[in-house]
Amino acid sequence: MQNKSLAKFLIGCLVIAFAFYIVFFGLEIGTASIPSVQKVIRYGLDLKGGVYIVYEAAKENPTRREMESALQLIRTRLDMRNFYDATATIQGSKRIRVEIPGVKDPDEAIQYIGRTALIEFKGPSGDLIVSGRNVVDAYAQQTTSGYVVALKFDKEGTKKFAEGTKKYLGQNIGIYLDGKLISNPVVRAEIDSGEAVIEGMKDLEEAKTLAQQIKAGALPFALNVIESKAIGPSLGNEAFKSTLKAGIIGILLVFLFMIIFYRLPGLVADIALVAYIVILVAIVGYAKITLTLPGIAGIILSAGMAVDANILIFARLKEELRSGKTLRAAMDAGFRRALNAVIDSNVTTIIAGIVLLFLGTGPIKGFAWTLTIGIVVSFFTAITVTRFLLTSIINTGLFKDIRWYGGKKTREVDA
Amino acid sequence: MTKIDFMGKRKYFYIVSILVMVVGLISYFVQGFNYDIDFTGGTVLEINLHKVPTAQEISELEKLTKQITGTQTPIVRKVEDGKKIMINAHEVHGKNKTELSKQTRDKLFGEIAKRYNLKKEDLISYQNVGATISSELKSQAIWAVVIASILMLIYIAIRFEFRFGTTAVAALIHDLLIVLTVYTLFKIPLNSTFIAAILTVLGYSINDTIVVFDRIRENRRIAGKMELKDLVNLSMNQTIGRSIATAMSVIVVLVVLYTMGVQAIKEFAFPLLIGVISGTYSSIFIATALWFDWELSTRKKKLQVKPKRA
Repeated sequence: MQNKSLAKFLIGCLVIAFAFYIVFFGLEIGTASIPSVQKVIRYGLDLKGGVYIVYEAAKENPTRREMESALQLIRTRLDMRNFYDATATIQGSKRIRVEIPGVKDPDEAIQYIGRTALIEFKGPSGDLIVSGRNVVDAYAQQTTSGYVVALKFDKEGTKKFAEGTKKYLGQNIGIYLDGKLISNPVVRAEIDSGEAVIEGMKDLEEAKTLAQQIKAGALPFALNVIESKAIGPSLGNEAFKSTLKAGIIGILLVFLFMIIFYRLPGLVADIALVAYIVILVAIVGYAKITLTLPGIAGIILSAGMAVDANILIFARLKEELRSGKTLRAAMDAGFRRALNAVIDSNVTTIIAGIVLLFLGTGPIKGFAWTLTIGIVVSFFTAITVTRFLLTSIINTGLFKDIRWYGGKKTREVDA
Repeated sequence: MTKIDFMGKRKYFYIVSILVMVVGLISYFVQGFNYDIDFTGGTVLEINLHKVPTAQEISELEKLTKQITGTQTPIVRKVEDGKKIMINAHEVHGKNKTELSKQTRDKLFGEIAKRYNLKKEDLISYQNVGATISSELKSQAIWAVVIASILMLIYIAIRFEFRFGTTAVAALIHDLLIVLTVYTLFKIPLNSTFIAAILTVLGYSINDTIVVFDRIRENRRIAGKMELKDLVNLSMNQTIGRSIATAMSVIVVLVVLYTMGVQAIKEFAFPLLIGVISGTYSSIFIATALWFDWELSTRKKKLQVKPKRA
């Protein structure tokens, strides 16, 4: 019984140590391998430097589908410029957030991604004939009259364009780019081929650019830049190093604090905290949750909250021991009676975390994720890992003196 | 076990809290909040000067910023080791008071670079925020707090009782006001991390309050005909050790973060530190005391009613 308990305790510690090793250093057996968390973790821009840009649809209540096609378009543009590390995500109902690591100047990046041009054909009185959403192709061409951009409409667009050119025969049809008139040709014949050209391009380069913009702008709305930020890589690096260092020192101090105040249970809590950190870091790393600066703060803070669950249990344990119970009975009572407080206090904090998840954006979301996951994990480790290890070590019968459990005077307690 | 008469001294703690809030209120009317561009819209530039600027130089930099951007009250402040500065400004020449154009920004940095002999990479970071996003952020912050509080109140009302829920949320509002006092008093910029800080404080504070309430709830079941005051004092004395231990372990981490962290973390850690201290204090002296007074007043009423019936 006693040897078995000791074995249980040691095996528990070994499992945690092994998991720690795998997560932080990776594992390779033959061809199978688990990458270390450093290799897979996704760092936020504030940790590695770069640029972010928030675009907003210039239209009230765009549909989800419209937003998704806009997103797809931005992704294509990013790939075209070889920004394979960049991410683009829909934020809320009408915004798209683009993050490009390693780039220094947002204005340059905005140029790179390119403005998405909305092309519109309007009649003399300003009525819309057909817009970019009906354009299926746009390309640059050299003709006898110079460089032009040739457009191809879809079926609906072909019909609309034919109607428009019939109606305004001999009059002007304005070609607008993002609301700006760029060309105002006179309609000389009804066009039902579904093709149109924009004339008056300076050179092939200009024609190519416009064609690309129109293709990109084959959207029901234009996108405006409403927020942009550049973070220097040196700042990101420095921030990460100092925060990590602060975090490690802070957690080591907490470890020390637990051992001093709660002795043997404190040591057990520290081992459980290592398990907590391993699980949390593994989730954040392998589930590809972007780690931001506030995110690290969330981890460190939830570590503090994780300690609280253990403190609650051990404070109870101490009390029960004082009232004369045996170790086993005191421990059971300690866990049982602390459970209510642990559940209630954790749930309320999770409520705050979840509200933050839904209402927060960008870095705040990173904080909310790590805090919420952290609390769930800490609850799990406090009631399972701590309990398993503590039961095992008490059952070894090696630590009977009440001073091992934070008592002030030497006294033997029965297991 | 400690034997402190917490409830007997509760009036003093009410006074302390009210005094701090009055200081906050005065500070708010005198200097207001330091809204960061996350809330006002505009541009923030972070520049490495490689030397600590004097107060004279700071005011010259502010004058320069005003001149180039037209911002009425540009803010220039030292950050981190003091050799770096942050400049808050917005474009006034445009139609809205929003972010600086590339031109204006380049001109401003160019002038500063000339004075301090800086290179291009000394412009560490800059951020542009439009006016719409910032007004949304403001309402987002208020909603986050309101929604979180209501949900917490509902949860506690179900798990405990309505009276516990109400006083716990009252203690939350207390902590919120204390943290806001710190923000206005020390002119900490209100930005998006402010929301995270506020909500963390709420989460922590309620966590702490619940542990104390949990003990009162439990003791009430087993204590029989104990005097209410003794029962509350007993519960407080039983949980005070744990309250301090938990607060200490969180405070230790926050202090280390504050002393070692970069500017963004410092601005986050400081209000959190205050919030945790306030949260611990309020769960003991405010939440429990308010609950106690409320409970006491209804009991007295009951006692007054009974003789009439008889």
